[in-house]
Amino acid sequence: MTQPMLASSPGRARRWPPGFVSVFGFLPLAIMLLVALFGPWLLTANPNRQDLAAAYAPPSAAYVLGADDLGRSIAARLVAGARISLGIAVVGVLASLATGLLLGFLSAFHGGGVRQVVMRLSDVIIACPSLLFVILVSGLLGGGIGAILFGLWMSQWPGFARLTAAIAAKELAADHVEASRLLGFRPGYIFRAHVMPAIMPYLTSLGALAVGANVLTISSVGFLGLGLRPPDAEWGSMIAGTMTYFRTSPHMVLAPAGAILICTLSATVIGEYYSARHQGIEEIA
Amino acid sequence: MERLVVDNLTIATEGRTIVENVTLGVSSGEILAVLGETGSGKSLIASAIMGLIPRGVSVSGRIVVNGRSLDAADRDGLRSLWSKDLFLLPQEPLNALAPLLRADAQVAEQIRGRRSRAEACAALSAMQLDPRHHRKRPFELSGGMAQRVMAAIASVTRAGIILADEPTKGLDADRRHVVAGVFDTLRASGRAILLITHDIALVRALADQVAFLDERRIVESGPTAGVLASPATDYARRYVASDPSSWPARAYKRSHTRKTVEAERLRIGIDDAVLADELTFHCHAGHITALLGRSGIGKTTLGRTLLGLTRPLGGIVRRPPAEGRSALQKLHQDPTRVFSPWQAIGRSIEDMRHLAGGESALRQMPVLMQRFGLRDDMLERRPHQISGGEAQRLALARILALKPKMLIADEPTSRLDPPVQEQVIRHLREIADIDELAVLLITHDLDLANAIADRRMLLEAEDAAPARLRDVTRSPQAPTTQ
Amino acid sequence: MRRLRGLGAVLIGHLIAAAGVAFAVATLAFVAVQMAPGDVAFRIAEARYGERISLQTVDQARAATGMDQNVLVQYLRWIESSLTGQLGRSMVSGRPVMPEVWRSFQTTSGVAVAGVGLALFMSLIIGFAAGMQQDRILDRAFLFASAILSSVPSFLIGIALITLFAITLRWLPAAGNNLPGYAILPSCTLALALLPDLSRVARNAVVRTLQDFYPTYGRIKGQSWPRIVFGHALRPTLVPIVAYFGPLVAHTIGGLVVIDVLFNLDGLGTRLIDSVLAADIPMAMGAGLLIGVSVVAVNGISDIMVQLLDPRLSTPRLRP
Repeated sequence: MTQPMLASSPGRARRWPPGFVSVFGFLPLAIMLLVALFGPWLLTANPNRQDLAAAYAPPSAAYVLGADDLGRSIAARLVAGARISLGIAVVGVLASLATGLLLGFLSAFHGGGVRQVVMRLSDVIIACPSLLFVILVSGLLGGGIGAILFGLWMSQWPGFARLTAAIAAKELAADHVEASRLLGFRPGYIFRAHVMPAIMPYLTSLGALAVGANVLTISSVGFLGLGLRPPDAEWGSMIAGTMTYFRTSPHMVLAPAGAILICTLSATVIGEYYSARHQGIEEIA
Repeated sequence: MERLVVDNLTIATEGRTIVENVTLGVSSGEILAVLGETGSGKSLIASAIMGLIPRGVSVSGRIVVNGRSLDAADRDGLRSLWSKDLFLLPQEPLNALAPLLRADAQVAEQIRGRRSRAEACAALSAMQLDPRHHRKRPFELSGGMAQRVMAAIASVTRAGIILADEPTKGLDADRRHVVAGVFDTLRASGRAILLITHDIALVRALADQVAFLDERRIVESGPTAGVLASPATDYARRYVASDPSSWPARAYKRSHTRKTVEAERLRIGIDDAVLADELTFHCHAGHITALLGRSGIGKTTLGRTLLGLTRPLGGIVRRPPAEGRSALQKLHQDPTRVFSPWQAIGRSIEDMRHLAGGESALRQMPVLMQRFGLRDDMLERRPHQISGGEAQRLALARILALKPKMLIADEPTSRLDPPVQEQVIRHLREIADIDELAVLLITHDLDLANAIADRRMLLEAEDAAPARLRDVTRSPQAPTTQ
Repeated sequence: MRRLRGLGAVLIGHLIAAAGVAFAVATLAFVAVQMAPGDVAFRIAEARYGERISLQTVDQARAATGMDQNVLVQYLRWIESSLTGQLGRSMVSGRPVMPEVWRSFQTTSGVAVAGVGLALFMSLIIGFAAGMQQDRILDRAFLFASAILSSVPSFLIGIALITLFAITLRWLPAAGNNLPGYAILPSCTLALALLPDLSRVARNAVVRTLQDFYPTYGRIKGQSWPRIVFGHALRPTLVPIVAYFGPLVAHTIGGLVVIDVLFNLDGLGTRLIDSVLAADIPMAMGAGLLIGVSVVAVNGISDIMVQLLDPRLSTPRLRP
C-alpha cells in the first residue's frame, strides 16, 4: 500500500461490462476477417457487373444493400473490398509487428550501435504523418496493393520497435532476469519466460489499435483516389464515388461507411481492453 | 492529559476483521509506537483516526481528539479536524508532496502572513534540512529529505496530534537517525505522536510507550524501556529477540578453510566513474563476510563485480571455475522480484530442468523446501502472492539446489519484518556452516554483522575520493556506517 | 542553470531534426518523382501542353527543366538551390514555387489553427468534465461516444457536415476558398476528427491526477480545493495533454490532405498530391518541405512547453 487507505480498486478493468469485448470487439472483427478471407467464395454476384436498370436501387431482396450509381451490387462490392480494406490493414500490422518486435528486441539486447540506428530511424519516421507517408509512397510506387502495404509497414514498424525496446530494456534490467542469468538460463529462455510475457499485452493492444488506424488510412487513400484503380472495389473509393448522392440515396454511402466503422470500432474496443489489462499488470508488478 | 484516545476501534470488511478492539492513548510531548508486522493492520489504525477508511469498510469504536469524542465511523467529523488537530505523515512522502512545488513553497503555503517564506525556511532548517535543498522540488529530494520537508510542514500547522505511518519504510535504514531526529524535534514542541512501524530499532531509539499489534489485536503495551527489557507475551518476546542488537557478538576465529574468491587491487565503478579502488580481500568457504558501508558507496557494485555482472575497471578477481553457470550466486534485496512475475513460481522452479545439471537440482528441491519450512502449495502462486520471507527462503532453496560455491547476499533482509529477518539470517548461517558456502553479506546493519559474520569489512571514503576497504573484524564498535 | 542547459539541448535537437526532416522530405519527393512510372518529361509535357503533345514538345520540356542531365546532378542542384532558399519554378506553370506554396500554406494554416484551437478548447472542457466523473454515467457515455467518433474517417465527418449545413440548410459554402465562411466547415471537420483522441488524453490526465495521493493530502494539510486544483494539480495534469498535442497535430497535417480534397481547398495537401501526380518536382518539394518543417515546429513547440511545465523531464534524476 502506497497510501494510508484501503486500496480502492480504480475500476479501469471494469470499464466495459463483461461480455462487451466479445460481442463488440472480437465477434464483429472475426466475422469481417472471415468475409475478407472467404469473400470470393461467398459472392453470388459479380461486384463489377453493371445493371443500369438497377442504378440507385435502395436495399431490396435482389440487392441486399442496394445498388450504386452504375447499378453494381453494393453488398458484393463490400465483400470484395474487405480483402483490401481490412486484409491489407491486418497484414500491414502483422508485418510491422514482426519487424518491430525483432528490431526492438535486438536494440534492447545489444544496445549501442544497433539501438542508435533503430531509434534515430524511428524518430524520423514517427515525425512524419502516417497518411502523408502512405500517400507519398503509393505515389512513388504508382499505387496498388503492394504500395499501400509498403507504406503502412514503413510508417508503422517504428512504433512497435520503440514499444518493444522500452519494455524489453526495462525487463532485462530487472532482478528476475539477473537472477535467471546467474542461474545459467540461456537468452532464448529469458526472452520466452521473462520478456515476451511483459511485451505481449502491450503489443496486442497496440496491434489492435493499429488495425483500426490502418482501416481508416486505407479508406482515406482510397477516398483520395490514390489506392486502387477503378473498377476494383475499396470501401473508401466507394464512398468517394457516391458521396454526391448522399442526400438522395444515402445507402450508397452508409453501407461502406458502416463497414469501416464496424472494423475500426471493434479493433478499438479490443485495443482498449488489452490496454486496461496491462495497466492491471503494472499495478501488480 | 491524553490528547488522542482510541477506544475499542474495530475495522472489518465483509468477510474479515482487520483490526479488533484496539485501545490506545497518547499524551502531549509523548511518542506512542504501534509495532507490528506487515499485514497486521497497523496502518489502518492511522487511516481510521484520519477518517480515511473507504465507505464500504465498517469502522466502530470512539476516537477522542483533544477531549472531543467522535464516533470512529464519523468520517466527515474526523476530516473536519484535519490540520487543526490531526496531521498525518504518510508512508511515502514523495507521493504526498505536490509534485512541482519547491520545498520552501510547500511549507510556506501553510503559513499565513507576509513573512511566510522566511518562517518556512526556518522550519526546514529546524528539521536539519540544509538551506541548499530549500529551493528544490520533490523529485530532486531523497526520501530522507522529503521526510524532513513533511515534518517541517507538520511543525508549522496547529495540529497537536501527529500520526506517522512507517516513516522508515523505503528509506535506507542507515538514515534512521535522521527520522529519529525529526520526531525528537516534533515531540519537543509538545505534540502527541502516534508512530506506526515495524522497525524495532526505531522504537528503541525513540518511543516513550509501545504497543505490540499481532493478528488484529494489541497483545502487549506499556513504557518502552520496561516492555523491551522484559516482554510478557510470546509475541513481544519473539519480536524483541529478533532485533540483531540483542544478539551476542560472534567470536573471532582464524580461518583455515580454502579461499573461494580472491580480489587483488580491484577497482570498481559504473561506466567510467570510479567508486572504489585498491580492494584486496578474499572470502573463505564456510565463512560469512559482512560488507559494511553507507548507502551509495559502492557495496552493491562490488557484489555485482564479483558476480561478473559489472566489468571491473582494474585489478583481478579470481573465482572458482564455472561449470555451465556461475559458481557465485546472488540473493537479492527484494525476494519477490527474483522469479518471473508472469508465471507461477512452480513453473519457474520446473524450468530449472533446462539448465546444466538441472534434473538433479530439481530432485533436490523437495528436500530443500522442507528444510526451509516451505509448503508445496506455494508453488501454485505468483511471486507477488507470497510474503517476502517465503520468497527469500524459496530463492535460497533454488540457489542451493544448483550447488554454488559462494553466495552474495545484497541486503537480503532489509525489506523483511524483524521476526522474518531473524529466520532468514539463521538459514544463511546454516548455509555457511553445513553446506560450506562462502557468504558475502552486504548490509548497513552493524549489529547484524557483529552477530553473524566471521569477518567484517567496511567500505569507506573521504569526500569525493574513491572508497577503500578496511577490515574491522576485531573492532566491534567500529566507527558507524552512518 | 542545469535546466537551461537541458532546454538548450532540446532546442538544438529539434533544430537538427528540422534540418533532417527537411532534407529527408526533399530527397523523398525527388526520389518519388524520379521513380514514378512512365517518362517524367512526358508527363510534364502533358501537364503543360495538354493533349497535343509530340516528341518535340517532350524534348522541349526535358531541356527546359534540366531533366536531360544526370540524375545526381539534378539532385545536387536541387539541394544547392533549396539551401540558398530558392525553391525554383514550377515545371508545369513555370511560376516561382515559393509564393504559390506560401499561398497554400496560408489556406491550410488558417483551417488548421482554427480546427486545432477549437478541438483543444472543447476537449479540455469535455475531458475535465469526464475525468472528474470517472466511471460514472457521464464518463461512460463520453468514452463510448469518443470510441465511435474516433472510428469514423474524417472524410465521412466532412460529408455529413456538407450534407447538413451546405446542401440541406444552405448556411455555408460546400467547397472552394473564395466564398466567405469557407473555412468554417473544414475547421469543424478537423476539430471533430481531433476531438475524441485529444479529449481522451485530457480525461485520462485528470483521472491520473485524482488517483495520486497529493490532492487528498492537500486537504489533510488544510489547503482549500481551489488552491489544490490551481496551485498543485493543474500543472502536472496539463503535462500529458501538451505532450500529446505535438504528435497529434503532426498526425493531423496528414489528415488535412483529405480535408483539402473534400472541400476543394487550395491547401498544401492538394498541392502536394497534384504536384506528385504531375511529377512537378520543385512544387512537390516545396510543399513537402513546408509540411515537414511545420510538423517539426509543432513537435518542438509542444516539447519545449512540456519541459517548461514539468522540470522533472529536463533535469537529470538524482541518484538515490
